[in-house]
Amino acid sequence: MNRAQMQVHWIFVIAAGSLILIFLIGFAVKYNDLQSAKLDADIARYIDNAINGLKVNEQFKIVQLSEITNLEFGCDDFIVNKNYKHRWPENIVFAPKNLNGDNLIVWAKKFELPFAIDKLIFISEVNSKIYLVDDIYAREFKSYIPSIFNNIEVIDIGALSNLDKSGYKKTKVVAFSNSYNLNFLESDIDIVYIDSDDYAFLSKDLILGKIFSDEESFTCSIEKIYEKSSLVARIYFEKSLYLRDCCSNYRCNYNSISALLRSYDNFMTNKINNNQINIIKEDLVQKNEVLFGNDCRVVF
Amino acid sequence: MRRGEIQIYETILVIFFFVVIFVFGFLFFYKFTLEGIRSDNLDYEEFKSRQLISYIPSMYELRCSSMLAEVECIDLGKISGFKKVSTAYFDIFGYKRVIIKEVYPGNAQDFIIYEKIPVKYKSKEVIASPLSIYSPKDDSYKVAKLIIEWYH
Repeated sequence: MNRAQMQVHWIFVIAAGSLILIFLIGFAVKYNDLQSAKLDADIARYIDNAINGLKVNEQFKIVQLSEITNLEFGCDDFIVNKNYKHRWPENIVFAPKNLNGDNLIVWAKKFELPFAIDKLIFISEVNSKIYLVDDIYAREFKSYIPSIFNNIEVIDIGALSNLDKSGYKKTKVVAFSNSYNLNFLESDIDIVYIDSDDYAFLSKDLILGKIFSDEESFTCSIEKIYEKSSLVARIYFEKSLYLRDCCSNYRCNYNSISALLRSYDNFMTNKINNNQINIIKEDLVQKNEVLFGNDCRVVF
Repeated sequence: MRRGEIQIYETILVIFFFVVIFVFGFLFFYKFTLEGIRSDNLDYEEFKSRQLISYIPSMYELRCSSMLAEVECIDLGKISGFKKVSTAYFDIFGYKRVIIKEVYPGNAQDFIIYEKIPVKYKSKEVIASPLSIYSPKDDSYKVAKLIIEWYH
């Protein structure tokens, strides 16, 4: 082989070798992506299963993940490590938009308005701290929250000026009045004001929702609550018609409770103001009690 | 043909066979990985269906309640209402048929509470579990079976 032929030979070998090497590297990268997507899918399914298990009975627990994971909660889904999107539109979840950690604290709580609608899911992370500015409401809401949420603490307003954020990835301060001035807090601390209008707002569970979630997640979950309440009201409306057909007599009249359930459904579908929903809610309970008092089959 | 040219052709041939073997290996590997993912998905779907059989009796949309207290049974008075809104539950149930079958006593009556059957499916699997149903009509409790037909 002469010198020129040797050169052509080596150029050819290097080009072919490089192509094969690039192909192998590409394959390894793709395979690695696939494996990490599989791992993320496993994490997502594990979280979904754990939460569905909790939903069967009202419960709370710490969900331990196999590794530190980034979770991004959307309206109908959550994204694991910015890589795998897991849909769970059936769940009404109150969680921060972003969570990073390997220990999730999850609480499935029954939501009634006035009849049971669904289980609300509250999610927090061990390394995210939530401070409730001390007052009568803060103490009341702290008492509703299971003690497993040891990352939630009532704090005196004075103690906020020298807040120790060490050991926590995220800090949130919740004040139950607009009158608290929290402007002195560092910019990386999330501040949530829950004003007096919110107290009359549907139920205390939704105030808990504000404590646990971000604005976006809260708005979305409220929408889902309206939709679910409307669906459940339609089921109870049909049940009232069923009871009217089978079981009404001079003592048991189901017409008024049917009409109320229809209005309730309309209010929920059209998201008419919350005070009217609260009035209907009380009327429904009262009508149901009357049926019970008259020894009739109750609707709920 | 000179010796140098023969060596170049030899190298081309070796690379060609190497590439062919590698592509075959890659295709096999890809096929096995895809099968693995499909089988994982199927296992997960099956697991979800089994989870559903314990979840359905706890759904407030179907569960018995009296004066806001819950009772461990399915309320027959809620079934017709649930059927009317059942399309909204596709996210939970998916392609399935959910039946409550009365077992004891009386006439064995079937109540289809959800039905969404795919146009095309390879196979159907059935899982069942016993449960208690309450009939407000005659104020009685009966034994029934919750049957989930799962299509894939």
